[in-house]
Amino acid sequence: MGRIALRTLITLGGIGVLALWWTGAIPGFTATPALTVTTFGELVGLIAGYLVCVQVLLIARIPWFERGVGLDRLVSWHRSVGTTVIFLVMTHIAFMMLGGMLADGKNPVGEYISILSAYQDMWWATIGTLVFFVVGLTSARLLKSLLPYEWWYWIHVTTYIAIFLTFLHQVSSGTNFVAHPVPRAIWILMYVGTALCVVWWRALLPLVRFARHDWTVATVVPESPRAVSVWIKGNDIEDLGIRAGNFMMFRFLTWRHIWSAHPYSISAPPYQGHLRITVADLGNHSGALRDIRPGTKVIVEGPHGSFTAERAKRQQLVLIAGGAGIGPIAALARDFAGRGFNSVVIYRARDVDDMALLDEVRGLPGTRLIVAPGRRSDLGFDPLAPEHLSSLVPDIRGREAFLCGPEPMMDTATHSLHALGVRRIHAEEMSFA
Amino acid sequence: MTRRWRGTALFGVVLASLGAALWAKTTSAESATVAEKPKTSQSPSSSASASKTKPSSSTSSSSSPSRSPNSSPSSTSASTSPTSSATASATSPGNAVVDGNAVDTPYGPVEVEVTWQSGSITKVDLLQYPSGSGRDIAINQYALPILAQEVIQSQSAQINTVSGATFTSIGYIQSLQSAIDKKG
Repeated sequence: MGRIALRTLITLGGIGVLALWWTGAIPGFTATPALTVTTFGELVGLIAGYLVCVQVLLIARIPWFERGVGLDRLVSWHRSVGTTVIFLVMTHIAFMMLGGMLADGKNPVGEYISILSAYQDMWWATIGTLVFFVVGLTSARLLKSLLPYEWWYWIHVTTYIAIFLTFLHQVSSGTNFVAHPVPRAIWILMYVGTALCVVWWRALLPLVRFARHDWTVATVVPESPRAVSVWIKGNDIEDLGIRAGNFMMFRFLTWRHIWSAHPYSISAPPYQGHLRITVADLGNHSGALRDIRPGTKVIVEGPHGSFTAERAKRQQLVLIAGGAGIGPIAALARDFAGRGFNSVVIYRARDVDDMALLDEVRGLPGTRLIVAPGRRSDLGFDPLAPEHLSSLVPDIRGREAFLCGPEPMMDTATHSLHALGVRRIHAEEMSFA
Repeated sequence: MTRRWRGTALFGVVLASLGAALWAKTTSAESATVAEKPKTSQSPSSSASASKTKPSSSTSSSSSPSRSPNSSPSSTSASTSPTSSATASATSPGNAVVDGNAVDTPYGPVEVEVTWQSGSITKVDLLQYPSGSGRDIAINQYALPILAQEVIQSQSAQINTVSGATFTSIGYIQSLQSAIDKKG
């Protein structure tokens, strides 16, 4: 299992950092409370510095991580580790300040000023930390839902600068690195290695691939008042191993779209040099895909995700799509039908007019489509509640489930499936990143 | 739903692990101190392999308000110099008080004042040491008495640096050497 392997690897790395601290820590740090507190603060800072690298590597599109874990889960880990890092940074600052204050009896402001002047690169570290906090805040669920994606994206990109700024004080002022050349070299290598991974897999490789495949928008097809399909063509794209259920990162090279890459699920895998994405009107950017002109060049990264037909262990399936989740679900339903499997597709949407790709799914052999439109408040019930789900699909217990949709729908569906005794559930969250 | 708190939970786990690591390191340091204690008490003046951690506990307890730089280990000097009664005879040939050069370190200058009695170093006082921040003070309050102890034991500037205070140690040694050279 790739997940366990990666978790083990991260834990081992953390133990390595502990060992590095252990050998370099001041031997008699229990001599005074101030020194003990300071030593703990430094240890916390070291682990935070390590987890920052972990966090960046998780989303560096490293193929080994992608295959073993899948980008959607990696992103979710990245989020969790991010929360941890923010708290660790706060703890680090608090302990360093407290340790200093215990030793010299200054107030917090005076202590902070003395730290700024006594050590190198503390101004940079301060700026970097402030950026960290802004990034952390804008990534918190509440604020992120209020911000346009592009804002969030660009605030997030500044994290790379912030990491560099905070890295400086680690190697120039850290007790475990100053006058300890070997640990210092290891630490610098860790950061340089992380940076190289990001540069290669996130920047250079996509450009190399762009040059090779020459991704270009072929046509844009409205599927419903709130959904649009974009067909994209490219050279040799069959070689990329793109499967139904994968998603890819798309950066459309128009003045309006070039600033950020968006993840979209593949609603039709490559066939004769074309693939398709189907996108709902979810945000500023997504809705605007209607205006994309044929001929627009696209930088495409991926494929990502492990939400594919290969994961199925049974031949009886239930596929549940919510809103724009129909894109990958439709592609999966076609894939399963091609394998001769039996699928029930349940499609939830707020409004019947919003529904896309219905005809495509309806005509598939061995596939039953159940359409469940309507807001829960209007319906007076949730079609995905256990009792409704079991009446819609009486033999659901023997099926394997694939879900794709917005987070609340996924929570409900997962809960109901568990209640109905469905064991194997594959989920792809759309509110990715 | 549980994923919402995963980052916070991970923080808790990490912090607990780090606390455990700190505790483990503390206990291992303490046991090392205890193990070496009898050795130093048996041969107070000649043991070259003196524990680095032992004097810190004695000096920090004896001179806990050691905010002033003059926190040399007076408790150890009494045991190592049998001629402590001859402090008044500053003019006799083996007695001298010499200031070393102020040596710059990345954290600030170090300057020592060395006291000889009957030809042997009995005391190393600090005229200056890095104290720009509380962290410097905390580290140096710990490290400098150890260095003084090492000097009195070795009667030279051939001493080990203190881990965690390497630059200060180097500055200390250089200032000390300059004082020794000045005395001639």
